[in-house]
Amino acid sequence: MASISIDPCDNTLETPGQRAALVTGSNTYQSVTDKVCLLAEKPRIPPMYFVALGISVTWLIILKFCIIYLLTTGVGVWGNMSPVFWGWPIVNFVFWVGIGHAGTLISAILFLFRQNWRTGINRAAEAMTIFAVVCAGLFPGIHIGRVWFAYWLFPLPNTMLLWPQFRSPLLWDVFAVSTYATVSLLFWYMGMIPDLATFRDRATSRVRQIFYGVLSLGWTGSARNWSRYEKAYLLLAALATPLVLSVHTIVSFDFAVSQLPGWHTTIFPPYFVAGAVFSGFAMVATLLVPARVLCGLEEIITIRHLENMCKIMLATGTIVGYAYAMEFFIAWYGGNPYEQFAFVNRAFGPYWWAYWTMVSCNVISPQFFWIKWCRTTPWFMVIICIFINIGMWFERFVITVTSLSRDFLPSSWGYFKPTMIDVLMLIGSFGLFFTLFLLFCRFLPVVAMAEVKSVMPPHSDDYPEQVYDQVH
Amino acid sequence: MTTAVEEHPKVVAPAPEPSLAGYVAQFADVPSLLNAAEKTRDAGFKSFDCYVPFPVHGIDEAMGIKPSRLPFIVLGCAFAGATTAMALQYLTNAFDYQYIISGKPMFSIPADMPVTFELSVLFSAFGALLGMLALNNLPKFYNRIFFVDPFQKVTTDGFFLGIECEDPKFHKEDTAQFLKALNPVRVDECIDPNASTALPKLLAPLAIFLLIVGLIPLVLLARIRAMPKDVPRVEILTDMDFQPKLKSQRTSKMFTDGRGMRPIIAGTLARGDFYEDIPLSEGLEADASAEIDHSLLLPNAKNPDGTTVKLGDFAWVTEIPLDVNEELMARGEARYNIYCSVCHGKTGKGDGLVSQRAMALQKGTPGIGTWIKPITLYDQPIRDQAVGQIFNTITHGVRKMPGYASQIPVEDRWAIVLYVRALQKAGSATLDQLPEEEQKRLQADVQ
Repeated sequence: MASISIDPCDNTLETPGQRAALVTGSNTYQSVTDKVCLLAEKPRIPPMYFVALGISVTWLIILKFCIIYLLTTGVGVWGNMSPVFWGWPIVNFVFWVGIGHAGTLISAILFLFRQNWRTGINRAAEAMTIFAVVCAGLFPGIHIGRVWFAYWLFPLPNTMLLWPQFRSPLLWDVFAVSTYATVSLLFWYMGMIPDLATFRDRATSRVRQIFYGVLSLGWTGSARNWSRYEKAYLLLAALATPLVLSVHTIVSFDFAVSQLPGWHTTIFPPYFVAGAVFSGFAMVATLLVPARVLCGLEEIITIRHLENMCKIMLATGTIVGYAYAMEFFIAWYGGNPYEQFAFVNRAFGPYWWAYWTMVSCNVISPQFFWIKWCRTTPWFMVIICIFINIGMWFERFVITVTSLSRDFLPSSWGYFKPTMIDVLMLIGSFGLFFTLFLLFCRFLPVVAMAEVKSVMPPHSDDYPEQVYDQVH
Repeated sequence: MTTAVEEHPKVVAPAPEPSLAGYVAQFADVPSLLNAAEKTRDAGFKSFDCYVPFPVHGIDEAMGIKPSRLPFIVLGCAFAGATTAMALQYLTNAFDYQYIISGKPMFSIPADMPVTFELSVLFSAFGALLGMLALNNLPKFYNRIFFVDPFQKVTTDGFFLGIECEDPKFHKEDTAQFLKALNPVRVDECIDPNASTALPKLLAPLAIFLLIVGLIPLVLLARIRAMPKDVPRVEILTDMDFQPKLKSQRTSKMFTDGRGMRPIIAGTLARGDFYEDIPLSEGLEADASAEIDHSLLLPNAKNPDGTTVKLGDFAWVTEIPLDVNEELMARGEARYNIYCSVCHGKTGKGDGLVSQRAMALQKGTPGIGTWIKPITLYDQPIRDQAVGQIFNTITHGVRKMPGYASQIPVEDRWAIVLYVRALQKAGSATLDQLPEEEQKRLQADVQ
């Protein structure tokens, strides 16, 4: 090993007996803060940022017009037509909720497992989670047709003396997704309080002082406050961990609790959760590879962070591939002819193209991550991640549409065709997502500075007189 | 550190003099801070705190911080969430609004678990965040320690230890000496400017004013929605009130004749409208029905030569083509009171409420109204009509009266005819036609 020349910025090498540095380069606490605050405080923003924001906002506006058109005209503007009444809106909902799983998984589960590398990426991943849940919440919201009655989803006393049906998985979904959105938001915000205080203390203008001053709630970094803060963080992580697993479990109940062949399977909850983590990590990587360059954070969000995410994608992608195979096994072994038909129809029926797109994107493409070069080359990683996201969207499409289009009564079989509005709204939801993420990069701390500092070794450059051996 | 005071002389002027609130020592790194924290704790200080940019391991022990009560708060919230969810599901689905789904029990624990779990987590999460903030006395936007000049570095890389003047062991000189002995980078006085932390006086009235102004549009909307009006109300959300559809008497571009209402297609019958028994369904003798033009049976029909059709000339059936019995009479009375009495009155005198109202509206403004008072049913001309003709009148209408064929089934129309006959008999009866007992009772009433 000694003959290998080691690049000081390469922390992907495994050296026995020594932990790899999570922050590379000669960074101090001060320089970490400076780097993270760079984009938020820069007087001159890189033009690439405005190009990206311009494209995103354009699609956001297109989404807005699509929604106005939908609301003033009716849900007939979508391709949802008998027998496929759950078309793209539900596909998009499940897709976005799935993406929203990585953030809390990174924040909570990796926190409980003491995976210190999470500190570099957790903030951005949590933000991504919230924005993905915003996109997800949009679709069932507008799918109900009369949006102004969306509050009927909640158990509120009303003059009709009606109550929601608590034995329905669709209602569990309302509680699961809204709880998830709320808890993720609380978790995200609580994690940001110390970093918002950093922004406050560095603010040079009155407006910034007041804005970040109010958001940081008067945080002083008091050790007594930190003590309770850490306890609260631990508790939130412990609460959020089962919550993450519950959300996509309950989303899968929307399908699994119904009696439709292809949906009515017990494998759905774990299979959906693995798929959600898979797609979520792919989206985090897709966002962070350009964002770390845009924000100048290569030394904080290092190649090792990206490599670790690739390993998780490889693991969850393989679980997803196993689940696809197991579905066929269960259909064959279960001996139910309707279920057997549903699965043969999936792979070789009219939607064969969607099924095989899904399999090649989700099962085959992550296998590249067995090779170290693929895990440590950002541009290649992004390509694979985009394929994974495409594949995961198709997974939801395949599950939703193939089962519905071939129901029990052959005379009602049909072929689902999306309309232009369907397509524009899917792309528009990406516009919403990227707009929110770009605004986040510009105005909020992209990296959990306090947490990164707590996992980096103290640096001798700062205080030359001090002896550091005692800390190690 | 006192710059804040100099910048805002106006604020300070009426307030008490700035006073020493404590000392803040900055340390170079974590080990020296931990060392200082231990020494400060051992020296018996209570009102002191360390300020660090990130959570430092071991500082709780060094400072003597006791474990937080937060987990118990969160546990309480979790129980509250679970109880709320269970109670909500029981009260709504098993108690208030019972609805059977596939014969499943109204209240079953497994089906209630997802919502119970979610609400437990939701309540606990709020408990964790809000509990942490409350225990930490946050939000606290005004803090005298922010006036210490190097303190801004605390959120980047500054390690501070502050001793407050509230501590019983605090002494102006001794505490400063004590801190300097701990090998800090620097020691600063924390001067409390004693600036007024009260909100500007105008803020509360302004907030109330803005709140009221903000409520005006909502109040106006509520008023528009709730007040009685002559014209249709403003619809903020029209729901499904206005839908593109053809209503009766409207035009339509869809058909070449421009009419929204479609005539019956020749040779067809509406479902349930087919009767082989012509006398029953038309009130005409069967052979006569085959010969005549049925359009002549409609109200105000004209003969080909322009004269008004005399309906009495047709071959109407003279006997009700159903079993006449008490039951049919009762049915007829009920249907008559529902459909006919509003105009004809309960006795058939033509004094129903609609008629009375229409006559009252027409009174004094002759020429406006076109209302014709319904004919008294027991007038001689009506009594002379055959039952078939009365049946035809109910079916197709006459003068202002619309036809009721679409609303009243054939058998019910005959029941009404029977009841009309009874009313005619009652309305035109003379005293001597009554049974003797009735005659005596009426005469007794008159006297």
